[in-house]
Amino acid sequence: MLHEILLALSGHPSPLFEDGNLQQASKGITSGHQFPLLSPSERSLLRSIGELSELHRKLRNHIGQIASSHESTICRAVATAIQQVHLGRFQDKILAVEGKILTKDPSVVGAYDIVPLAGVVSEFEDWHRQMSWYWEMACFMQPIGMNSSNSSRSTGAALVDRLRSEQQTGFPDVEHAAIELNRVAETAWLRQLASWVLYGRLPAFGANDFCIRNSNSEAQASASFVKEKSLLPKFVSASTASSILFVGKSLNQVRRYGRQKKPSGPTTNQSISEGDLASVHLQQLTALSLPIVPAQLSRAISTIRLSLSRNVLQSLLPMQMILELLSCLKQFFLLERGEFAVTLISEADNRLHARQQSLGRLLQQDPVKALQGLSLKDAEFHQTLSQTWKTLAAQDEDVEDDIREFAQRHLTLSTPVDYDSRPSTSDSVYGAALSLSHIGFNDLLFPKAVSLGLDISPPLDLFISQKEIDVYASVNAYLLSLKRAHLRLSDLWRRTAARRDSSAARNISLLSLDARERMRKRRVTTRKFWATCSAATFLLSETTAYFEGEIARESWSHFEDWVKEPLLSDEPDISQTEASTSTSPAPSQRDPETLASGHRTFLASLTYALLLNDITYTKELRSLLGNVDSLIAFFNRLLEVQQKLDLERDASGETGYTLEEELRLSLELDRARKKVDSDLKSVVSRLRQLDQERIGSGRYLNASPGDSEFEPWKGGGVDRLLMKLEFGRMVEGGFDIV
Amino acid sequence: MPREIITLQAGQCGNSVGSEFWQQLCLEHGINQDGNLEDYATEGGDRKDVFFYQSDDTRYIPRAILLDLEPRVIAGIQSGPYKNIYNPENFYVHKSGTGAGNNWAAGYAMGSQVEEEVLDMIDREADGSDSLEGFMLLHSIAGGTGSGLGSFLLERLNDRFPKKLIQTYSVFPAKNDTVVVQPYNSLLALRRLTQNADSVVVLDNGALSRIAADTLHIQEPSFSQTNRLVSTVMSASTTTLRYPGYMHNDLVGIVASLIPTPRCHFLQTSYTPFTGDNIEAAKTVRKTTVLDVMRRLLQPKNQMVHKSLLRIRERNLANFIPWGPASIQVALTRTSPYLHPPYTTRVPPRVSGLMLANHTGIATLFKRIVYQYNQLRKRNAFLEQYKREEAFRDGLGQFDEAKEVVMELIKEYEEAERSDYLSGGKEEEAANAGADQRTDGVTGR
Repeated sequence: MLHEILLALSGHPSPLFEDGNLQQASKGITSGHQFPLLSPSERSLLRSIGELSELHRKLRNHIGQIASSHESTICRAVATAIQQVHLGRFQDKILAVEGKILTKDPSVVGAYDIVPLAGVVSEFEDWHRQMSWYWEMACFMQPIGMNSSNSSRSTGAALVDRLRSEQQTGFPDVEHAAIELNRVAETAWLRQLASWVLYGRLPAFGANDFCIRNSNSEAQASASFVKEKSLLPKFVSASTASSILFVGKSLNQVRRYGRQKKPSGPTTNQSISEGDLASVHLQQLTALSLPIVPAQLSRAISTIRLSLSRNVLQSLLPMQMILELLSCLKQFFLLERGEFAVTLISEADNRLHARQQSLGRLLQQDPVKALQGLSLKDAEFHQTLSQTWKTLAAQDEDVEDDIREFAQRHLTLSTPVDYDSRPSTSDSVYGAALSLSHIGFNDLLFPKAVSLGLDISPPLDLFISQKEIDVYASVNAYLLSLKRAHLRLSDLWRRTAARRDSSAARNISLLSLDARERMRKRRVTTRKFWATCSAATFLLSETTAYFEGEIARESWSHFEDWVKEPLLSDEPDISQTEASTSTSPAPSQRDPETLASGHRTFLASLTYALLLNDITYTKELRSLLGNVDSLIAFFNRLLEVQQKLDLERDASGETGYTLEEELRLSLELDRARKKVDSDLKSVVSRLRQLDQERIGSGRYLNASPGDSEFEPWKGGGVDRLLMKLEFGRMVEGGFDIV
Repeated sequence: MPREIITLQAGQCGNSVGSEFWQQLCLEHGINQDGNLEDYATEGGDRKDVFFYQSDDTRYIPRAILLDLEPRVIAGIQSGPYKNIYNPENFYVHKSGTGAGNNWAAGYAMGSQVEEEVLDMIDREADGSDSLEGFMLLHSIAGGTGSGLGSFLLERLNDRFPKKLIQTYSVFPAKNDTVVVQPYNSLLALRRLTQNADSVVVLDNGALSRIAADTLHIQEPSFSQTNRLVSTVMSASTTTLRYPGYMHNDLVGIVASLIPTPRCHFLQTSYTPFTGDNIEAAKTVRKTTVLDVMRRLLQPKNQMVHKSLLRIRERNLANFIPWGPASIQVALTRTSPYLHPPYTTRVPPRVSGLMLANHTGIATLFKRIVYQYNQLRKRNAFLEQYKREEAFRDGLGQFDEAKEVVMELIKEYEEAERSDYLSGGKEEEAANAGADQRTDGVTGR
């Protein structure tokens, strides 16, 4: 009987505790047929033992399955630990009890060699809670009854989090077990982490469970990595996580770069130091105490990051390269180089004009083909851009212009590609900040959405991501469309025919009274049009001046100062530990990741200041720009018709058709003008509202502290723009601007 | 894209002002008296090619054409310190060298004699520029050459370059001008300025002398001193063209922002602080912030139109057209680095400002011209010399036409002060005007 009990406890099925038997026993039904000798009190004593042995058996099976087939190495490690260590202890306990019985230890064996069943049962009393807790954990890792391919299995990160929370149950034995298991789990996690942080490799096994994953393995040759937030244990803070991502990514980069440029000298030099570096970094990781203390981990990671950027990245991504990229972004995306914008706009107009003409010709010859060629192709955008470069290059041929050449190599003009949005991977560091208005401004240059892009070549993606380039592209389209509307409006002032007297009108005496009256009337009727145009020009020119001259330039120079600011403060504590590995006293620079996060903060605050994330404002502005276009078109058309009318009058007398056309166009023009007027008003009133709304902390974008060291430029709120728009009024009417 | 501007200088006043202007430009761009860059002029970032082109030996040559009907002023330029920068082919002095004798008609008539040669010069300059933005005419409207030949040029430029902007810097006569027939000349020239120019920067001679007296403390300013004032204003108003910032990279930008309806294209200027080289007192400018400069720009003391012309209402410093956006634009612009130490000995003011304003008050100036003309015409004074010339062979119709145009201009400005200006003040539009609240387009009030 005792043997039967002990064997059953160690995992062998026993008729003593058959399922039915147990259940019946638990229901209090006496079932005397199998073991009639058992008294009810014995049976109830045995019941707890039976439960324990049942649980143990189930656990053993389940754990074995997890240890061999679970996807997550962390879960496997934990399962194995339970199997080997914890259940081993249980086994030891059984053996100990057996030994006690055999050696007739008085604590178990009473007089006349009687072993009281209650004594045996009480020996295993402690194990009930632990065993059921193990079972809970096992079920957490892989719910019972799931086949192995099911997705509802726990991830390593979830397990780590669970184990951490289980330490707080208040039962010392559970806490003890949880701590032990947690240590195992975190060791396994650290091992994964180490291969990533030290060598930039994803763990060979269980990669699906790791917090970093390769976002597109097949699509692009250059792999890009993303953080999977759900796979991140909670004790890893967001910034630490991005540091981890960054470190691995850059190592990966270094390896790939090194492979590509095998023969070159300096990279080999690096790869030597890379090994040393890895061992130093490994020391950092092994020095961590288990269970991991978040602060320790992030310190270790940042130390690694720093030493990495000191030793490897500085040569991989030198400051100069970043500055080059930044000035390219500034000059071409933020339109600091005005002539680029102007040339691009005029080249685009030329191309459209040429298209229209050739289309008209083609329509007569071959309508089908003409219609096929109706939509704009990427090749045409490409041609437009390259023509722009040519024109720019012709302008200052004698000057070597590195930035322009850089831009020429990297900039693209094409239809924007929709990247599949991945809401699940929303990144806490820059997910929230960059919510741009969905109103697109990129369809004003061409009648199809076109945006400027930038090819990010390998070392640069340590600093900038496609997401940010997309933001830049929308900023670019926004500024460009404003500029274009302004240019087109001011081009009206070049329409001499509309603004000066024609040579025919010069000799007033020769003109009939009728003609003079007609011209006078035209002048009077166009007054409204001109006033609207000049109001629109005024608003647009002030807005562009405010956006480009004040916001973009000022915040940019602020950012640039920060980038160039020599690193002085945080030298001492780390450099000593790194002293052995730092190969040279490298020129101080911020490490790329700090720069990148600073850059993200800068970009977010820039788009905020440019009002690009305000849906109402962008909507009104977009409609204004569209209406301005149609206003200009109608006016030009009306001028043509009027000229034709004058000619007809001089020749033979006007035709009814032209007269009608003039009437219709004037009507359309007036309609378009009213639309522009109302749009102007709504844009300004939205600006006023914004001025009211953006007060206090809303004045600037609040970057949550700790996200980056960079403090965005604070100055030039909407009130500055409004003040300029109202300067004349302020003088006139006293102080009623508020 | 350099938006080149060709400068035409006509007559005695135009050429003297022009020569000051070029000296100032050379100074700002670091170009020495031979047209070469100074050794220190390495900063770049400026657009010299708007006003200059480079000859084969890389000297900078002004895109300027100097025209006169008598040799005195041009000879002075040709023997002056900057004689070498100009293209010698761009000087034109009429062969007879008699001048126009302060007679608009003579200048205008001589214009048709010299038309071919002058237009050849202009064409040559225009061909030498990639994307010509327009022309700048410097002249006075009181004399004979500047006003007569200038008028002629304006008409011809209009026909020949229909899509180019024409901006003039026109010196208007002071009240007590020495030329007796100036009302005739002014009126005739004003008509061309009205009809054939895109923008006219009005420089009032009387106000110039007053500014010289008030701020530079020169009691009897010489021509060269008032000319220096004009060239200061000219260089300041072209700064945005030469030092491209974010705004107004071209002339049309300035014009479009200041001139709403085509007829109202007469601009007033004021500039602060005015400092003379030799005046210590002028340096003690109290403090120069941007706002301060803006305030002082609005002071009549610094405006280049005579004080009496400004109709200052109660509490209102300036009087802007009620239906449009305020025609003041503040352009903060980069300036020449060569005007600062170590390149010069004089420290320039930290902030200086130029105001170009489109102001309905300018109509008073035109009214004065018409009034003076009427006075003269009533007596039929001095008409003989006009009748001798080509334009008046068939009678004095030119005068009447010119007066009609100028009166129309005055009317336009007067209408512009009314809020129903846009609707034309006509009953047919009246119903429309009620619903049309565009009077406050931009500010939305």
